[in-house]
Amino acid sequence: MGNVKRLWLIVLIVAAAIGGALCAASAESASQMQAGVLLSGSVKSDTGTKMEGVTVSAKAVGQTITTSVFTDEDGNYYFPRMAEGKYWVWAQAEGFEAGKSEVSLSGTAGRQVFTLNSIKDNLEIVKQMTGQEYVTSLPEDTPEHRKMKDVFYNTCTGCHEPNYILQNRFDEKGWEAILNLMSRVYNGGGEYAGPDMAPFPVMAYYKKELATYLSEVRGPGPSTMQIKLHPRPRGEAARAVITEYSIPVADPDANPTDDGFPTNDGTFWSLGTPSALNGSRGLHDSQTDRNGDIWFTTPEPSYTRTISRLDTKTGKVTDIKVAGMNGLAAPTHGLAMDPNGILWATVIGDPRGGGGNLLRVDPATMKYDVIAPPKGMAGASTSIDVDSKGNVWATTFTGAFRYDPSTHDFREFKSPTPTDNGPGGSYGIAADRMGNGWWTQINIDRVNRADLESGKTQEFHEPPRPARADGAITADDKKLYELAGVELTDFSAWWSEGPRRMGADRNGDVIWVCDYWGGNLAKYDIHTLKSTFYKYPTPESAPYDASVDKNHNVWVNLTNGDSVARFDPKTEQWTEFPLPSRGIDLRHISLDERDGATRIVVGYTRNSKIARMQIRSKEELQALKTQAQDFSARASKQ
Amino acid sequence: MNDTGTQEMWPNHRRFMGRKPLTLDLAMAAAIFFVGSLFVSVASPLRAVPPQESSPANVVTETIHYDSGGFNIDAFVAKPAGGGKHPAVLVIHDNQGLNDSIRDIAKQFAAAGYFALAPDFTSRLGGTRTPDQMAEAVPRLSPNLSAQDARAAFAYLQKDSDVDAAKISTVGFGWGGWRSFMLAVSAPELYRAVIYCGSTPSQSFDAVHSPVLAHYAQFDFRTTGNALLTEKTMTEAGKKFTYFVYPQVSRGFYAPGMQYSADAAKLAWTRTLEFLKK
Repeated sequence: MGNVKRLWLIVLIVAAAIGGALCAASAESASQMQAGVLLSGSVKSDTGTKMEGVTVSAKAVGQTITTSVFTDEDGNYYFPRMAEGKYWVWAQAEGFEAGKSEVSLSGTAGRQVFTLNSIKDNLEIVKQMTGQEYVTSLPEDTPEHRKMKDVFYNTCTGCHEPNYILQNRFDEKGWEAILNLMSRVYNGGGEYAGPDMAPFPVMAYYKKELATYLSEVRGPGPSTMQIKLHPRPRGEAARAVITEYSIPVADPDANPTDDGFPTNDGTFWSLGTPSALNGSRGLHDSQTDRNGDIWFTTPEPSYTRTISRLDTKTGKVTDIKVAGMNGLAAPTHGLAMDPNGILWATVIGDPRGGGGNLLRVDPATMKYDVIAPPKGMAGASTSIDVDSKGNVWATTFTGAFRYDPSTHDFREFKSPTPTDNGPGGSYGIAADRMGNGWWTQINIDRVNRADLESGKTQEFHEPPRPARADGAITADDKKLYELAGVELTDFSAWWSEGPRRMGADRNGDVIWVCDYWGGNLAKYDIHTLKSTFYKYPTPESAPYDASVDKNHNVWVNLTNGDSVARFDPKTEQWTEFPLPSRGIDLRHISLDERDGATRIVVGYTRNSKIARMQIRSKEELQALKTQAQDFSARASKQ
Repeated sequence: MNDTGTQEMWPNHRRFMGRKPLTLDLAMAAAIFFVGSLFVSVASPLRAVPPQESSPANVVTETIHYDSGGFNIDAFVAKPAGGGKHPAVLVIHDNQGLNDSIRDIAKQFAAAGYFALAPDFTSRLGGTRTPDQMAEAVPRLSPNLSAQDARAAFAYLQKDSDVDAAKISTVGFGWGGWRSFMLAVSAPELYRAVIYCGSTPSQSFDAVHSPVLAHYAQFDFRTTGNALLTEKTMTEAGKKFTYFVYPQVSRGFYAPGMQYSADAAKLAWTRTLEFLKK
């Protein structure tokens, strides 16, 4: 009987706790619902059809924060309540001209209806496309076309999105000139290296054939491209609210723009992908601190910016400069937060400017420390993660190291297959729940695991992917790839999976790896070491980085898709969530789960924005819908 | 970014000093760091270049100067002792500059019966340099002006009374490889051109008259990967081009240093001498 009583007592306590929490939650949401102005409206096409999945964005005039929502199955949209004031509001859907309006919000609610005019000219539609849509639309009807599509995708889309290139039209000579230039740039840096630099072998070898192919698809004449637009979001994806923060360029004096921001930031799709970085270069990894502010790293040269804090309430950015070389700020790349809320970043670049060190920042005090690995140990490079005990794992050019902040001990692990002769050093990193570190070598399709107990590293060689051009690859093609060590020079071979960045399930027993070239999400069981591959429905979307939420869902940023996607390991289903800007170069994804909700945070490398996405429940959206309907009813009576 | 040899190293660290580059790719960041590390190691006394050997008994050496468009270019000369005309080799240094390794190679050519002229292309920048300073200076040289300096060196050799003007060849290492190939493009009187780990000019193959021999290192992927295209282009232009790929070696295999491979260097040397004698 005593046990039964105790059980009832527990039930009552739990019920009381739940009730209290629910009351608190409803009180909070009620206050949220009451504060601000509710902007809603509808979108239809010029033929009168209700349009679902249209991206509708609002930005307060003079402010740096843009909020975006999507229309539902009835073509209606509902913004979260916003402060009173003047807003620019616009609606976009591929194949339609953007609808634009200036709206003054006051009182309790406002309404804005859009009618979007369809675009008849395919040449205008393509400007709006994502990189994935361009690649999917490229012809592959003959073996030669398949081969050139492969060469283009494998060679030209590792550093920037395909739409960066294909939004342009040139004749054969024009494309050849572009390829001439691009084949002679520094790998990754993008600067012209001079006539004496050997060109990228694959790009140089296929230059004429590739120029012919590109002039057929994006030349002065009719295009052989079959346009295949991605479906607009619906259901859960259309319930997303995305807040985009425009980040001022790091050195506005050195990169003059109209107002301290990039001149084309991907906001209006018809303007195409930003064709230059507009001084916005830099923003890379982003991470939410315990206060809800978002920090980001800057790997490109800047005089002011090593690591920065974005105040998510005001949009204000505060830079921290750590002295680097030649008066520049030390550049940073990887970013992660430890269990105590301390931020850890990798400092990159020339060792004389601090490259290879770790940067420790306390977000509460803005104080930082630079921690150097012991002499003789390879320095930190691109990616960083922190395990549940607070040990910091960072990639190095030759493998990875683990740093224990409590003892200040560094432990180095080498990749079993060294890639000293190419850029195929370690790329992504993750620490599993057992405290072991995993990292990728993108250029040689290796996933490595450091075993703390034995001190050894085990590698996994991902199986080759089939090429579109299978059957059309000749003996000369094979010889070229062998001589070129193509995976080390031209980014990707026919067979490359390209394991890029990765994420650990902190509450599970798996590591998730994004295969950039293969379009897979690869699961590695940390105990059995078995791997399972899940292909993304449009592999050309290029999954880049993974982050795992508290429910074991895997969130992936799709670089060529300008979107993020969620993979549910239980159902093995994908859900894609498009982001409101184009050509954004997503290179990292992180989650903000401080208060139970899951928010997805990504940085737009090319556009100088940071986006935070949250998905509204059906109930939340219904509540807004009801309030909007009440408003409309009252308005019609008056 | 793959070309991260120690002996012959691409000047990628420039990206931190000049105009801001374009997209930074993750792996590149790692590579940049790596290159930076190498740069430091190159700039330190750790680089294992052996002390200069004394000249072989049958070789005499001197330093000369020649004019290149109004600039005075210093050059190291090694030639067989005794008089008479000799076939000549223009030895073009790699991106470490005219150091003891290159001087030693010039002396080896002299011991083999050649008048060897090894210019210091950094002379164009004025002043004198330590080996480390020279390695920093080479990447700052204009490609086209240094190619012009190679042509001026060729002209100097043509006029030297100790040189058989019908048998002037060029051997370029790494950075000097492209300049060696460019001389083949621009000097129809050139007898032979040898390229060690050098890139290929992008055009004007019709102008090449001399046979060209190229030595490539397997791990020097970006350069070596162009061997097939160079062969195809030269063949289509009706020119003689032969290449060898040396397995398991890196870009600087030909001269003492961290990437030196005695076996590959010896084989390449033998093939070079045979090619020059043909």
